[in-house]
Amino acid sequence: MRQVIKVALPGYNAETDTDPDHFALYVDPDERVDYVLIKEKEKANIAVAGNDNEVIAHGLGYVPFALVFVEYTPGAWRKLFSHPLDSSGYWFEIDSTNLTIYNTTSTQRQFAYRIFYDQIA
Amino acid sequence: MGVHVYTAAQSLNEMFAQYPSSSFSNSWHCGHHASGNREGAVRFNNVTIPKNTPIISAQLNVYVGAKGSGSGDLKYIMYGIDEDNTADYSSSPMARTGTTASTTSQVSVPSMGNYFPINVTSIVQEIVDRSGWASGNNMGFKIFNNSSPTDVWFFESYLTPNSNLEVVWDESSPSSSQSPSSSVSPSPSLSPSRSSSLSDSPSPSPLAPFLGIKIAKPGKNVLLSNNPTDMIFDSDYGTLKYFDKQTKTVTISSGNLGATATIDHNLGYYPFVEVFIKVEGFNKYEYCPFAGAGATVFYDANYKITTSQIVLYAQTTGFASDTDFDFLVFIYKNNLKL
Amino acid sequence: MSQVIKVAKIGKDIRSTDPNDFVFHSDYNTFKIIKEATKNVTLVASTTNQTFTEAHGLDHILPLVHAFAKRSGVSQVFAPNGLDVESFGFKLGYSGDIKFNYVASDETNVIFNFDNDKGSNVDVSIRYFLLEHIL
Repeated sequence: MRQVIKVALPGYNAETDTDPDHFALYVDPDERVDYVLIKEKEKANIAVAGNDNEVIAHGLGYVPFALVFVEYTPGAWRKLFSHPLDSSGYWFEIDSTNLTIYNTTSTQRQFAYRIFYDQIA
Repeated sequence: MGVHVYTAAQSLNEMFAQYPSSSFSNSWHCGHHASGNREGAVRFNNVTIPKNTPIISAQLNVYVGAKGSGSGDLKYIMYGIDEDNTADYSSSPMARTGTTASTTSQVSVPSMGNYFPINVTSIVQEIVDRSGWASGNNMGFKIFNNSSPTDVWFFESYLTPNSNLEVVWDESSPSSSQSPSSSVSPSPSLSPSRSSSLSDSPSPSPLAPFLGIKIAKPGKNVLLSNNPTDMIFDSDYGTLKYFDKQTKTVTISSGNLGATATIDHNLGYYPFVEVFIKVEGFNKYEYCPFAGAGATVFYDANYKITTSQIVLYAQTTGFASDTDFDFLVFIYKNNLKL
Repeated sequence: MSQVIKVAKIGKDIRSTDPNDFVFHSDYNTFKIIKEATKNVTLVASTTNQTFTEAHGLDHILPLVHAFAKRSGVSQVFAPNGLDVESFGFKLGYSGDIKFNYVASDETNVIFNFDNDKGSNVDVSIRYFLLEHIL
């Protein structure tokens, strides 16, 4: 007997809708596809001094998915990608041991990061 | 004599939040913030008070979905919206004519998840005494800050409306008639209207539909919190669902500046993706698009999304030999709808 | 006895202790989309550092934000910190005239910043996702 778990988003019918994008959680073994919800491991805000970096050991032993944001101006936060094309001076790197946040500007900045359990490599 | 309770509907335009330079129809609030006054309005639908009924008591129980961190009492003035059947708040109600009756008071805002009462007896009486009032009409209230201390305010979202209007009238009066009464207690509860099922497919569950699923984080109360960040899972909110992770190595041959490769997804729409990259010789992954440099080398990578593919690009200068870029692409089911 | 709701991935054991073996696990916060919407902007010709804002309407939530952009009439989407790639050559690399510099948020607005190196205005649609509170 096949079993499913489907939790529809507001405005959608869990019993008739077939688009996983309309669900908060969608599990149907017949589709042979996992629609994985990314799972948060830890989050924090830290200050990184100008021309400095912060190394955060994540303890997972593999390369996890991570998101980092910087308060680039008071009250405004920007998603960090890698080395920025506009040379704004903030980026992050991740490996199987650490998340490293770089601030190559001369001004201390606040960063917010989230590390997830989901393995990228 | 019966107690009749009316709760704001869980839909947009039933609440109104006025800020100094903006407004929203998805919440209401009152108080003072560093950025200025916060004022608002709430509407109750299908208020079944017969015309000209003597009101024994009427109380608006205000639910605190969030509050400011300031000290001191919230000071406010509340009016009714002096209309027969007030329209929704798709347009601002703050300038609609107010009742002559009003309530000026102050209160220590309780902690989140609790209520504080506002006596609106005279306000409700004035509205039901209007010549055009009829049982079943909509009744609105607006509230203004009255010199509250800085950062003293309350807030409630339309997503989980709990504020309610509690009215007692003499049902033996010739001008009143028996009407259905709801006795919803002013306590938070899971709100309806979503459909979710936990069932053996394909046959529909024979039970009543689930109202949704919320799983609170440790230390948070699932029944009291309306804050999605207090939840591990909340079916009121969408999720990012990835279903495929693909890797692709792009090699830039020496003598060339760039290289490209594609990953097929064939979804027929533009999907949400996350791309990471590792450059040969550097043992760390970085988020893509990106650019980097060494002493004598420069490198950068980019990508674009089509309705069938993720197209990856890399380029370098200064590398003396072939250079590999290892791309990791997470493809989500989420449709960008572009 | 603690209680948990968990859904294993296909082929994985529900008794596994590896979070990567699960589609969903109630021991771990599921990153939520608080709101998603589309904003249309027009990039002025030959102008860099163009900023656009959109009120996000999330009271008391300063959201993490991600976004993607699409130029009108062009069937491709590009990400922040990247170019809308228009040409590629093995000897020339890739290039484009439209750059999505960044996406950001504050207590009131979502903020988008672009460069337009074209000599004409360009219409761009931006799909943005507000993901949980930043703090």
